[in-house]
Amino acid sequence: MIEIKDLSFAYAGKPLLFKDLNLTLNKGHIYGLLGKNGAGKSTLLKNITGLAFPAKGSCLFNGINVANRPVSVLEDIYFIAEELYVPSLTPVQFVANTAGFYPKFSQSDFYHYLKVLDVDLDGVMDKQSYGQQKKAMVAFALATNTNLLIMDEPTNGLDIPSKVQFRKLIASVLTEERCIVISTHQVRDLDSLIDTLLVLHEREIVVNRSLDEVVEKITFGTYADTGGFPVLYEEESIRGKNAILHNTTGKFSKPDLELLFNAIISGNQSLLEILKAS
Amino acid sequence: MNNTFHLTRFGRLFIKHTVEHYKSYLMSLTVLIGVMVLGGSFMVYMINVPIDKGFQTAIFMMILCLGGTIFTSTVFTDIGDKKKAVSSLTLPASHFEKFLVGWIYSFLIFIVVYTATFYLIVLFAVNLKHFSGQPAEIINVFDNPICWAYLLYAFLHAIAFHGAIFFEKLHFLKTSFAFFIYLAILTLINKVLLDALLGRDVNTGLPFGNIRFVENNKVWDLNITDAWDSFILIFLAVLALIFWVAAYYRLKEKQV
Repeated sequence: MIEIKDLSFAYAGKPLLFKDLNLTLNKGHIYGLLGKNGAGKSTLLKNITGLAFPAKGSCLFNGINVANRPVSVLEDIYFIAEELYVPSLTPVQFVANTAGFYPKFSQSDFYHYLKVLDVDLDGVMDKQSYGQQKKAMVAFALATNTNLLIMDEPTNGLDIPSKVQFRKLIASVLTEERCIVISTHQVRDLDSLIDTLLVLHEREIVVNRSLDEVVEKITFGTYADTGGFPVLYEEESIRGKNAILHNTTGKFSKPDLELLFNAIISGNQSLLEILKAS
Repeated sequence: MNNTFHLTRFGRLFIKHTVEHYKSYLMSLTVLIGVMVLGGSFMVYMINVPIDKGFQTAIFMMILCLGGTIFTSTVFTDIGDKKKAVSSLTLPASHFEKFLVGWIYSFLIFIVVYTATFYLIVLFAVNLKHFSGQPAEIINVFDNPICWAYLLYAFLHAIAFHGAIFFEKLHFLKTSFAFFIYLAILTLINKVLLDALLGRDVNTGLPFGNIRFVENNKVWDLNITDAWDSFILIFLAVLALIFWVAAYYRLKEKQV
């Protein structure tokens, strides 16, 4: 669905943020894009949505260059930016003027999502709290039924019950035709939600693996003592040592995304070699 | 699927723009009316002068150009603001449709609304007080000086329109600053080139205008006599077109 070819990008007067970056995103997946602050997650998403243009290379959506922002592509992409803008309208007024631009928009889905996320139908959006604004836009984004849905830090500003509802909703809207990309630095918010992990680090995608593949290659656990284990990375905790081990047994464990992320950005080469982006 | 223009989609975009901006546009119109009513009343009562056709024409041109360019500078504020730009640029409508909505509001609708408002207020002002020997008269928008005003506005609008897309904030201030700087540079280059071309010290006004020089103690004025009016009209129209086209491409290339 998304094919990024040899993409290099730099903001004017700044050094390259990406150099010859290649990435393919397929339909039917929920991708979690992780990276440190300033790694370029938002910039990568803007390149994918045609809001920023690469200095070199291209970003294609179903074979069409997104940098031209053709209507046929825009109709099938919805992007929720980290910093939201909502007009001075109620969700009902907003949908009356904007839904028509999205051919697959579902009014019933929209009202259902608003209800699930507990958003006031008649409240003027820009007078609501940031969390309410975000939820209203998430409901709109999901109701557009676009095949590509991109969300940059979507859980920022959401309270805990809303985060739970958000995760449930996202999981429920994934279809075989749809691709969802969620970028966040709040790694725990992606637990039990994403099926593929993307890690952006030092100008390149260092990990692009499904979580099934990840737990096939490495295993996570908490141990009193890791002596004698094939430890790739470990952190001290109250309960012992949280560790990532080379999976030599073939047993699957629950991935600890935060631990994995810390290991990757610490520059753990053995781990990176094992998880090397495909 | 037409990726450039689709009438239904354009209509939808026009309605969306109207719904989201009508409050600020109505406020702008109220300010415009307030300025004109106050100004007109001030002229009639405080300065005690009749508002003749010449004066009406001058005021009409001045407010059209100043008010219109200020308004035009605000018409693309959405794409200057990073938060708004994301939703504006990713909205499934073509660049041409987005361009056209801004153009229609700031050029066509502004001209119609401004002209109608100006007429109403002049009608009100000339009837406020009658001056002896001075008939109450009102300019005709189809007369030459007013048609010129529209063309001049087209040129200034095109520059303000381009600036509204090019700059991210303080659009009017930055566009005006750039305009005057370029005008000063052009005037200077024009003077140097004409001096070199004619081999003498030439007095010039604005570029592409007349030139004046002294020879044998006589002052000579050179003009493109008969064709000058047409030349300026065509020149302004061509420049307006160039800036509108440049603004369209600037919009296409806009990044966040």
